[in-house]
Amino acid sequence: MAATQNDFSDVQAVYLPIAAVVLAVVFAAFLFAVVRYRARDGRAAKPTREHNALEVAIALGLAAIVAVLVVVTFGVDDDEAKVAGRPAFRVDAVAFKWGWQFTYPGLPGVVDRTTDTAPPALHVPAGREVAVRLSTRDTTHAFWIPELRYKRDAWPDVAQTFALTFPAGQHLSGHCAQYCGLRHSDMVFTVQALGREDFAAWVARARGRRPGP
Amino acid sequence: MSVAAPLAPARGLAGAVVGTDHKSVAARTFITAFGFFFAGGVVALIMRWELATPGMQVTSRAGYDQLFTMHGSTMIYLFVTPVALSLGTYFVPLQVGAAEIAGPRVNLIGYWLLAFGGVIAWSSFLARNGAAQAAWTAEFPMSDAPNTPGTGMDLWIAGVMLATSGVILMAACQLATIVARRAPGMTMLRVPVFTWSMVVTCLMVVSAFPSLLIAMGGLLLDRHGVDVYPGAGGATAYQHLFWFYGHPVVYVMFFPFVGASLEVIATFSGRRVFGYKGIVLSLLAFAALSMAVWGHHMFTTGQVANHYFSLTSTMLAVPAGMEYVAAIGTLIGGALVLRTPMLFAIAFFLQFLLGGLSGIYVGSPPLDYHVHDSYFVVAHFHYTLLAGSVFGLFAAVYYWWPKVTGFHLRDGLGKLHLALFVIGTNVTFLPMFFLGYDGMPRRVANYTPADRWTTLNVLSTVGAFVIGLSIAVFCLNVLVSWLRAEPAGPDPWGGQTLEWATSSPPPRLNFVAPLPPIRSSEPLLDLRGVPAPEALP
Repeated sequence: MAATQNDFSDVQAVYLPIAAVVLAVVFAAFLFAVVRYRARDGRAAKPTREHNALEVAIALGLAAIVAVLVVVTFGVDDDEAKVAGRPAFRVDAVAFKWGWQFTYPGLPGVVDRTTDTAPPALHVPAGREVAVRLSTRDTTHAFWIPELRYKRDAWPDVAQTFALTFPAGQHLSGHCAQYCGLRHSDMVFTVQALGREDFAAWVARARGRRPGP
Repeated sequence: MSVAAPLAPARGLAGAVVGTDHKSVAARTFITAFGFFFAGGVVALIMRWELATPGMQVTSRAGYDQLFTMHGSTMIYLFVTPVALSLGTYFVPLQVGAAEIAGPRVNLIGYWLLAFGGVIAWSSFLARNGAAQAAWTAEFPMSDAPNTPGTGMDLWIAGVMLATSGVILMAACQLATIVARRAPGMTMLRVPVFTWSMVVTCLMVVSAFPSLLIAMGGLLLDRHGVDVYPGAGGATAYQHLFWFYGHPVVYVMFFPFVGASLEVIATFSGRRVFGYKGIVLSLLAFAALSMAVWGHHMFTTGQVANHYFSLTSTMLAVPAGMEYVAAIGTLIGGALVLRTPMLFAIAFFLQFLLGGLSGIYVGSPPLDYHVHDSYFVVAHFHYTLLAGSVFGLFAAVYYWWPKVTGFHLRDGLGKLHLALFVIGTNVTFLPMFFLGYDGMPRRVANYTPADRWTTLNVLSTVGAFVIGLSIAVFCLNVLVSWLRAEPAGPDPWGGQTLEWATSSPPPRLNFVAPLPPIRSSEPLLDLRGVPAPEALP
């Protein structure tokens, strides 16, 4: 089962070391040049020569690095785009100015919604694949849970569906990441990723609270 | 075009309004752009003051939204793009040995469109609901009439359209100058590196900037009752039109400073630039690729082909890497004179690298999904623009200042400026990588103590004021150097290109004496008997 936070770590584990090496090599090259070739009495600059073969070799080396990065990215990106046909749980997330509403197709009538005083809590079972269907009621917003290393824009008129896996026992929160006007900074939510028993207890409580027909 | 006898140039105030000499138009563009830089910088300091601690201290939420919108749009539309073109307006005709820019009156109109556009965009602060507050990208539908009501937004759109039209005209004049006004003997492969950087810059301006006019024109119509961008397709269409401009503009704000910095490095290394043909080839490849990467701004929208845009964006590492090879190859084997312009040019390459590498990082959708629209991205593009390109700009300013004014800027104050600027930019923007990674979204007016972002934000704010101090040192340097001028002479640095073969400042039609023979991209080194790379075994 794929999880966005693992996908992120897998890709970053390739990108960051390469970036660190490139950074170190370039800084070292500049430092070497500045120390070694600083103008001193009696030494003139050497005439510049052509090194076409060297340049081509470096370009090919860079292209090889690009190829590695792109292959890693493509593999994970394809994996991340897949949403399981039968996810363990479904969430309908609706963004609006300036708050969130979470409903659960498996639990008709249960609603977690931003109120005048408090951000809402998104309730999900921990450790299982959750399909989130994201839409907006007005302008564009973005659904971002930093701990899951994932965000997606809420796009006008089209719902977007993606899969997340929530770890148990962590304090998770979410934030709107797409500027949406006056109270954009307040557009937060919390996440309750519950273990099997806790989740069942919440379901029972939420069903009990549900207003009658 | 028929050539009439030249009129006596207008002087004084009239000259400042109608003078068409490319050097005078360039100076006005430069001063206007720096005026907007100061204005946008003050706005940035207010924003940093607000963000230093949780809660709203100095402005309201609506005020903050106006500030970040005006900061971004001022810096991009009215400072970095125009200032880059002002360098080209001044030095392209000189470097190709032309007496004037092609289309001097069109060029002048370009300047005035830019200046008035900027004033109109800033006049939106006087509107009833305040200035525009839909960010510099004005993404639809956030920028439509229901979401952002008020004439402030309309004034902003009109201002941005005018300024961008002006920039397009100025770029067209430079391009025409390079194509049609090169001195005898100057083949395209003898055009200096800076002018080559302006070739690709201006190509991108004339091919990508009209897309912004279309996006903004549609937005203006949509705000006044015409359904230009209805529904989901409209929101997507706006972003495609906008980013088709919005990514190339990033390179418009980069290439001229690469070109200028490479010339500075060559001059202060006392030798020809390394790999001239490689530089030209990679600039062209860079420009071509950068017209095909815009969708990487849209990975999180789910409306673009991730693989394509990720591939093209990551491929940019190859031509970018070759510019670094050129810089390092020039330094190694030179006799380096570490004056202020040289130090700024080296700092440009080193500091930009953080922006470039983080750019490759965000070019990968699985990584971008996390850091997009967070402070990580704010750090990334400030490392390319302020902590990158503006170092290249100051390298150009310290290098060409004696040519333009006839007197030197002080080297000691220049180095103090550099030191403060290095400290300020890194203290401001390094923390932002961590803030964004930790979950701080961009464009927020506020955060809570529970977020635990206060320490890094305080650090960032302190850094921003150090940047302010470094710019104050620059202004002091200009003042001191002006009041007690040290004359520079025609060629204070041992220059390599034609602008150093005339007086400082150059006369009305640029060259009085006959031009030296042009046998390479560094004609003045030919005169001094420095062999060309091709001539060496």
